[in-house]
Amino acid sequence: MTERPIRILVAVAAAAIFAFPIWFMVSSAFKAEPEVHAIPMHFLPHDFQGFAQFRLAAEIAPLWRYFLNSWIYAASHVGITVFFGALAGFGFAKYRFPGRTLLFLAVLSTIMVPFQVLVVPLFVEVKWFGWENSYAGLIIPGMMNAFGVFMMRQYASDLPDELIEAARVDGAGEFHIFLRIALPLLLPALASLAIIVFIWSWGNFLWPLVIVQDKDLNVLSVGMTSYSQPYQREPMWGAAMAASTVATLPIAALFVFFQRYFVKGLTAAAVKG
Amino acid sequence: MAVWIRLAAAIVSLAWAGVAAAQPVTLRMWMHEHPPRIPIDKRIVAEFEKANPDIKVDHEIIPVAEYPTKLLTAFAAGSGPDIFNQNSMLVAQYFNARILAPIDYAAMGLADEAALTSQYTSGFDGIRFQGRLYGIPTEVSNWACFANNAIWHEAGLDPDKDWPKTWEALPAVAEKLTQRDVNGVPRRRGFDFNWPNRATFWFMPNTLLHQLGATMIDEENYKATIDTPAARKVFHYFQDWANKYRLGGPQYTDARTEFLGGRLATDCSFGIWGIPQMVAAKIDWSVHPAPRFEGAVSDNGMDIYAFYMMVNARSSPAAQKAAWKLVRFYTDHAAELFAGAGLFVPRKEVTESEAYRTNPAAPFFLAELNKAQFSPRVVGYDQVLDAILRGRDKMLQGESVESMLPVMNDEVNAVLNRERARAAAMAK
Amino acid sequence: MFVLPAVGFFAAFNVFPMLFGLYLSFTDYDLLNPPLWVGFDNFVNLFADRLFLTALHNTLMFVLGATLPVWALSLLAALLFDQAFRGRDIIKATFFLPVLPPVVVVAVIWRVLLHPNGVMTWLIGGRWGLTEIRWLADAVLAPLSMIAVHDWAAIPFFMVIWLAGLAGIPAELREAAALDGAGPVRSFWYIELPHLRATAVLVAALSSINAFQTFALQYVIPTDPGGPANSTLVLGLLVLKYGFQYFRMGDAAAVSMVMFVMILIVTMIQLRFNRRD
Repeated sequence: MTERPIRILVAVAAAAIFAFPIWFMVSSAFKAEPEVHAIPMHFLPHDFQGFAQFRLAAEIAPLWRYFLNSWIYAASHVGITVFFGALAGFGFAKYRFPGRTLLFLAVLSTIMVPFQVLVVPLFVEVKWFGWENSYAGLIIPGMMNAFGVFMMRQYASDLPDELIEAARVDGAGEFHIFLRIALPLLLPALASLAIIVFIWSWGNFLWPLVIVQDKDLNVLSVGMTSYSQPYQREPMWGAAMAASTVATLPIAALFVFFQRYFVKGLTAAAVKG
Repeated sequence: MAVWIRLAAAIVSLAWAGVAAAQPVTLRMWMHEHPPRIPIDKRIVAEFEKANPDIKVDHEIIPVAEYPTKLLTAFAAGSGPDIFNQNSMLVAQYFNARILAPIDYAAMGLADEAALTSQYTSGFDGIRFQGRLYGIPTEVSNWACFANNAIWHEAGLDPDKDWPKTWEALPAVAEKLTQRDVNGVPRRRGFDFNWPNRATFWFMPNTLLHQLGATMIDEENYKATIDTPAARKVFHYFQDWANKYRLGGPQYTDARTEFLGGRLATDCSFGIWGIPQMVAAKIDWSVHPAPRFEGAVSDNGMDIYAFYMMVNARSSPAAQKAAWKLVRFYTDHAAELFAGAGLFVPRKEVTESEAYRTNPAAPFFLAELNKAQFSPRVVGYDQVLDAILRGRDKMLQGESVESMLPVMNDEVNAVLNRERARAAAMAK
Repeated sequence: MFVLPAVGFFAAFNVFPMLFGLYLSFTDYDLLNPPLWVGFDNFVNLFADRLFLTALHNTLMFVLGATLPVWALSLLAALLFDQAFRGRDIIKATFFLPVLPPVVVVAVIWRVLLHPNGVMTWLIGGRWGLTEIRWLADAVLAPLSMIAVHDWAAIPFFMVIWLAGLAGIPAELREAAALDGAGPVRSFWYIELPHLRATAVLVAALSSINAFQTFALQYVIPTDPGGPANSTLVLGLLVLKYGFQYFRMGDAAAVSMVMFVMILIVTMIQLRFNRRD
């Protein structure tokens, strides 16, 4: 197998090229500001700053507030999408009712619509409710995901009908069946969906940008612009890199600990789409 | 008997008026974020509330970047603030949307317009529409040029003696102050325009055009007048600055940041409010007039802009009256606002105040202010400015000035026409 | 019924806004005054609107640059990592890192790297002694930079999808080909490629839909969103500009409708390729 060493070499080179900017981000988060711009670039900080840049980042903008808000936003989306997605998916898969196919196709078609089509009318609609610039306005539109319904339906239709019938015969209520029988069986799929929704919500930029104006309500993705385009101040790139690292950590953690679900989730998202 | 009845009637009606007046009014007041001014705001508001126990003020500070959007969204939702300040570039839009209430002199306790304007030497031009005034200036600002004395001396120049009086003379002086690397790339600039700051490229072309006796927008006929020989001269200047002389350009860090960082020898995008910042950054500064064109028709420095305090025409009549009272109260604290936050209005209290007299740059700024003009007011400021910036960028990329100016003219006219058509449609 | 909450939600926050958006695209609405019906004016004016035409051009260029190279390079990467070798998992994970940061973080990182006197200039221009490359200030380089950044993050992502597709190919087939003495290229052409048709269409469709909607890079990386002289103004950004900077909501809605139709058409065409069997 003489092609092996070449393969490894190419792979390592490719990985190095692609990972380089990430390394730049993390290493710069620990450098002093002038060193961030040093040419030739320093791979390792010569003047290790400890957490100074992180503290600076928290001073320039309410970094931890942004972080918290992103968690609130992502977690609520995950919880609601996963639960109601499973509920609806289960409903579409296991129950026959008039208009079932039509309704499902309608739900599915909403996936096709790019968010730019919705952003202006949603903004006006949310304004009517009086939710602009509030947690409600931030979280509620978009808290359920048609893709979740679709994915859950695929997995739910694979659930064995016998189990459900047996439970019914035992006198269990429908909701009880869903909660006690279906959900536990759907757990792996739920995990993958949860991860997809988390990643998507965590990085969502367009909606928070439009609906939130207060610094206190802002999420990390929009908050990052406080570092790259600060008002009347010089951008502190070391702090920006520190903030970037903080913003990447949760997803990186998910990747490290749940790699299996992570990858499975991505492929499921893609393949089923 | 009759006397008693009349007295009783008088007392009753006075009491009635008193009760009516004592209806508590809550005013929502929005102002943009300018940190040095905020503590002063709070003091003024507290004073006002004490003097007017039946008026409560809900004072809110909004970050600058979000302020225009937040105002518009609030007005659109019908929940706009009763009293707010905003800069002169954006007021035309509010006027067009009929959000602004004309000044209620009686509510302010003044006889008429003259009673108000006589207190100021200038500043109202930006808020006068169809002959009436719609707000009072809280800040009237004009930029001037600052030199970093240390860098000038290092290059063997004297900022006072060698200061270029004309735009034509500027490139040579800037070149002496510029440090370049082996490829000719300026590493430390001598002077550069503040390219990334949008407002700069509203003021600079307008200022230069005013010097040549021209203007970018014909406000009376509401038309763009950008395709003119004067404009060609002005935009050629910008183009040459970046491309021919390579003294700077939009790809570099913005001038204000660089100047405060001690890495730029000269900058012309600060007003008098910039001095505290320079002092804090330990820059040894000196102030100079903006250059003029050789053979300029008008001896004006940088164009003026102002911040006005205005009242929401859609608020209740009682709220509007209370609001105008607060506007007058607030703007009467002009001297305090200048001393504490560097916000200048051309008013006797300010020019005779201690802070003013001890500020070495103040008389210079006032002299320049009296010679300068407001930039044209347009509805759709953002769109117009975008069209100009677009044209500017294309010229910097190498397009010829002669071919770009008609394009810019058309685009700006398109915006103006749109807005005018819409205003006409709304008025129906 | 179980489906009610979800369906109700979508009706309120997906279907209704879409219809409302369609309505708005026929109006002139500046948020301060009630919407004014203008019929097809917005759409007609769009095609004479220089801003729109620029955005359209830029978007098409971006989509081309974001899909074709990504499709090919991610496939190559998948083929590279498809066979086991020492340290493969770690190297693959490292290669995958660009996918982790949220898109805004990607933009911020690259904004620093693409400084005219920064790291990229040093790495790429260094050998010719160039000290300044105007990655983001030049009207030609800026859009190319956007494409490069986008592709950087997209290639590892789509590699994973290709890998999933490759994993679906029965191992015996490939072993048989190897035994028959087929070289890697012929093996790929005759064995793997046919099985990858569905994946290929998927990658093409997903990457193009994503590319049409991308705007965050163009918003955050250049000093001026939309880039020097509007060279990086894409349709997604134009919707934001018309809607939330100029407050011309009717025009914003019209642009978004055009975007939607374009995406639909492109996706339909690509799905055709899948059906043709």
